[in-house]
Amino acid sequence: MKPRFVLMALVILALAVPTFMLAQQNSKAEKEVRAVLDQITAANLKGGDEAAAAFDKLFADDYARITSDGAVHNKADMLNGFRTGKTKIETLELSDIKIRIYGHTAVVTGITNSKGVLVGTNIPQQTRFTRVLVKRGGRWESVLYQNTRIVP
Amino acid sequence: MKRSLAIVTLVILALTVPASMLAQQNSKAEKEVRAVLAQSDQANLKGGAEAVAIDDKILTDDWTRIPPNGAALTKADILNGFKAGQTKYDSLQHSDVKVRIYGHTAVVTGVATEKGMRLGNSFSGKTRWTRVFVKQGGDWKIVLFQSTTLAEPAKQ
Repeated sequence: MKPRFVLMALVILALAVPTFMLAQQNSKAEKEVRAVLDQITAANLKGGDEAAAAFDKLFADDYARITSDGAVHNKADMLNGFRTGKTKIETLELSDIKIRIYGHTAVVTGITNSKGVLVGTNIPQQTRFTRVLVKRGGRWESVLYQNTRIVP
Repeated sequence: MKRSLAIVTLVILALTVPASMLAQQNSKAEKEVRAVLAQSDQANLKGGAEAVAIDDKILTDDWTRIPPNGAALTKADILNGFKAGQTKYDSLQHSDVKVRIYGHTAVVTGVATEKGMRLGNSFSGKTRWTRVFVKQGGDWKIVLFQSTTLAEPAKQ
């Protein structure tokens, strides 16, 4: 009876420990990703050269931005937009944030309430967005952002 | 002289072999991802029970769909739409498809020219979309699909 009890306890431990460790890792990753989202919001609101410098670090070189009218901007377009004043975000609030961690990738969805101009085009007030981040060299970098206007 | 040549050769090999192996892995992954995308298209075009069976396999349980009206739909929503006959594509063609592989994740973007019905609402036109794939248990599955209506160029 006793050996069977020990065996069962070992099986339960073998199943529970990896799950617990994965949950802890994902919780740590989620905190790191939330911190990056805060940095992105702060840089958007600062604008200008400060935003360009911040996004140079926070965006991957192959970063793609799909705007709410379906246009595609690359990293250079985004950085130049801030440098030249063609991009200026006056207000930006995120809500309904959901972060899903898949190993070294984070898929974030949420809602933006914002006002401003992106590469010369007015941004819609309310959109639902996806941001994909990948962890490389110990840092989370955004590789993609797409937003879609919410139809009331 | 011979020794330094051997060292240079070894360094070049050490730098190029992993890069070549990674490129091969990514090329294989891209083919696999494109095959799953084709299955997804088949599901949309077939509709009904066939679509449910395909999507049940290739979509993760936490799948999220953001359609062009900015709603947030779940896997259950989309499967129920097919079951009830409220979702079916009449035509669907992709262009400008770009697949980027990051280890066990693939980020795919493209333009769809499409016509059909989604959850009872008719649609027709072009959308720019993103799909995120994750490799789980040896299979690529879709975790997210977002599309945005592509603005028509202004008429001169």
